[in-house]
Amino acid sequence: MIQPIIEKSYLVEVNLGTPAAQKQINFQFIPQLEGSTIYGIQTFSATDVAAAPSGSAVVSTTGLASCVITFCVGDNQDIYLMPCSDLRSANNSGFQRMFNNKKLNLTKSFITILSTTGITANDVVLVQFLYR
Amino acid sequence: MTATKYTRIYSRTYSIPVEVPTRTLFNSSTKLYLNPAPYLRNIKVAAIDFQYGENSNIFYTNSVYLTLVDNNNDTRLFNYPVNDLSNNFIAGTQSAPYRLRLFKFDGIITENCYFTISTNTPASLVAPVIAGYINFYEL
Repeated sequence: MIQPIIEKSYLVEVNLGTPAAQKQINFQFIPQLEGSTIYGIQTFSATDVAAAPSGSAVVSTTGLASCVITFCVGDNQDIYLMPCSDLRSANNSGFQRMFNNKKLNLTKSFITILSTTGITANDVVLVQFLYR
Repeated sequence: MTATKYTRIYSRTYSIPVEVPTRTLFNSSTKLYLNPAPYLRNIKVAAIDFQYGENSNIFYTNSVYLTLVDNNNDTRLFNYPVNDLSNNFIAGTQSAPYRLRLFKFDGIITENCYFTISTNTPASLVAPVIAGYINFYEL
């Protein structure tokens, strides 16, 4: 399997707030990622890192499996309802998922909670972007 | 080139110990800077991994992130989980096969690079320890 060569990376925290089925949480504006070309995306669960850089609790592996992610390029939902678990390296033999040089519209992109199983209030989903 | 599927041969590796000084409290604002390593300023770094220390589990038991700055003072890695750079564990089962994370840096200013320790439980150290070694691989 192809391994990405990381030129730059940025870890984003998405706070899930009070969990509820079908709740959508949009990404915040990240200046460093604005206009950048994203070619790899990776998620982490509490089994990988228990606390986010902010100190918030990271969502459990079960909770991560209860979420899907949608990424927009412009107004198009290019990556639609992708399971967050599928982006977790430990679920993919350690490999990082690669994408075809996407200029993401992050503030239109969002995480959807499918079920509250394994999610505690204010859990954080960690999403790492590989970009240049 | 943003990807490779071939095994790469590295000409040199540089291993820097990560020293953690005595401290009474660690929290999400704690930053541990790397020691200066001038020889890395002009090295083409192609891979990085982290090896946890044998006598200290402070990095292994807490959530640690690496922020790395290149020789143009550009922040290249922001809060990169150290666990993702590591392939050995002091205890527990290793679930992923060995893999080395690949990078593309023309030089690194180590004294501007730091680890952030994020923990829900404040920890204290009564004596300095070597938390581990960060290894830089040159093509």
